[in-house]
Amino acid sequence: MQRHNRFSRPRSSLLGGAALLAMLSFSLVAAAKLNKTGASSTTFHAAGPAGLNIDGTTSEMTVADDGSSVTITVPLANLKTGIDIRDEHTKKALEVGTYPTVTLKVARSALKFPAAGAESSGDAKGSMTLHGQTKDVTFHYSAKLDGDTFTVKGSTSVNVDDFGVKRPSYLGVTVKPDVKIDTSFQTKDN
Amino acid sequence: MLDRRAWGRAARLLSWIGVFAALLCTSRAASAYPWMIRHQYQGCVPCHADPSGAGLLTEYGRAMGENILRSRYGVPAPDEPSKVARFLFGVPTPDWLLLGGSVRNGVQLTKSSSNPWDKPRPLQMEADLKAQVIFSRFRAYGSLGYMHEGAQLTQLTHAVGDNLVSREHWVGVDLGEDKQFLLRAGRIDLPFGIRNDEHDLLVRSTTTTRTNINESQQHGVAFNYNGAVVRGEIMALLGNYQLNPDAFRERGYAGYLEVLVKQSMVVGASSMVTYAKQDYQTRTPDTIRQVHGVFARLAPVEPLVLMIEADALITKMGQSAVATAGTTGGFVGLVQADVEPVQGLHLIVSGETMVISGVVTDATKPSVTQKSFGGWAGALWFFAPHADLRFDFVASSSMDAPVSFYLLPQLHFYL
Repeated sequence: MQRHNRFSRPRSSLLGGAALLAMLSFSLVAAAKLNKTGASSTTFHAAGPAGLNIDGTTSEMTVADDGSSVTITVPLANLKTGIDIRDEHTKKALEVGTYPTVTLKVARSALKFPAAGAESSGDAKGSMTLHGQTKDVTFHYSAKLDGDTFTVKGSTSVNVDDFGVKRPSYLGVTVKPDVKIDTSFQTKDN
Repeated sequence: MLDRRAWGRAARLLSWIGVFAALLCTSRAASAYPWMIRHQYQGCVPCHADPSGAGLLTEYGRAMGENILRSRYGVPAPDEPSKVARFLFGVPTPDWLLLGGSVRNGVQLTKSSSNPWDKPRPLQMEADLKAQVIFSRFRAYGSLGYMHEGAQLTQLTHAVGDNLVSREHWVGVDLGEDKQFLLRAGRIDLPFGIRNDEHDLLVRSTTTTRTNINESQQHGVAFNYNGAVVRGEIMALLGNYQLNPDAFRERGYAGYLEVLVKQSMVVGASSMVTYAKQDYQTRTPDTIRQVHGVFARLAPVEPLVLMIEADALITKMGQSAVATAGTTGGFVGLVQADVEPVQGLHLIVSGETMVISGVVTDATKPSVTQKSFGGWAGALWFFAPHADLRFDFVASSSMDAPVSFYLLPQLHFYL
């Protein structure tokens, strides 16, 4: 366990980073635009020393589709880690006041779309903006089309150091840089 | 020559030592809270020096005691770690030193069968000082305490009463890039099952599995691993060298493995096999005890944590002048629910049972199957910094005996 200056400014337990992902699939109509529907969930899995695991979860998300790319936006203001003060320290580390969201922008052409009643999955590239910095990320996704609703799941990992996030550290317990992101949501073609 | 500020610090330290001494004179083992899984603490490392839990707190653990363990009466946890969380409510310690202590006193009221309640019996349950010294990857951990009576298995002195005790003392080396491994040798809490506080539970009791943190520690060598998904410890048991004669010392192994199923759920398995030339409780010769079990901790909804454990018990005893050789077998089980309706206040309900067959109560008669059960209802309130109050009501029947009851209020301070 790293032991930092224990009486200096804390950065509480965990959680760093953020990002998000998504994927979509479309049925056929190239001009159709996706619109989020129903519940969503995004979880950021952070790790500390010697087996410490902390999840930060939020149900807030928007999906925007301009016809050529899809942008998933996850607000971080209501990220919950199970402890209020840890939520605050996490948001401080992410500078949520200045950088309130994490976004993932994906070209529709990068995605495989399932036919009605079918599932598709794959890996795709997108650009993620976290902590005000934008980097290319690769994510895995799966999508299932039931009626007009896509049920989408995706996951990726980011190194929050790459995004300039000062990792939370509290009394010698410091978050590791690699953060795994899982997301799920439903969307419809309009 | 001491300046005024130094005198002030010295006076403050002495006053706290006085408080501790007073508590000692009027005053169970170190605390372990497996229900911390509700706050995503599936393991024990961030808060405890012992990677399998219980005992001396780290600075991080002390801060969590202030931030999320105790009632805050509407006042948010401070952004900066509270100085009150430190040793003796404010004494800073260097990074290489952890200091702590624990004092627990209670009053037991007992009612057996149809008899009236017995007279209240004061219990001095724990009065231990603890320390850990760290040098690079090496560390030495020890506890020293006083017990007015009981805890015989931990005694350093062997008077009729008023003995010095040491529950744990070990040296170890942290290994791995992340210090995720610990190799240690000495007197160590047995790595087995859910490490909970209630040492009288059937799954932990000295009369059953002998795996509690009150007095079941053994000397030996242990290897611990704490990973992101798996944690566990295996220990070679060399015997309790605070128990004499040597024939009483149990040798073998104990270990557990716990796997993270999801953030709010872990499952595990434990195993222990020991051999003693003579069992220190039953006095049976060549006694082989086997305990093997499974356990789980889960937080299905935020205020609730469930802890479940079931262990098989197999004991093989040799022939003696007063007993026939034989084997007993059975199981012991626990289901415990901890609900924290508001921060700091825990309502705890436990149900437990044990069934043992092959028990010889009369050499002229066939062996019998005996059943035990218990029901616990309690409240635990972390009402102030470094302090908690607990109240338990227990109804139990041991080995087919009539149901008895006890009430146990207890007050606990940690330094």
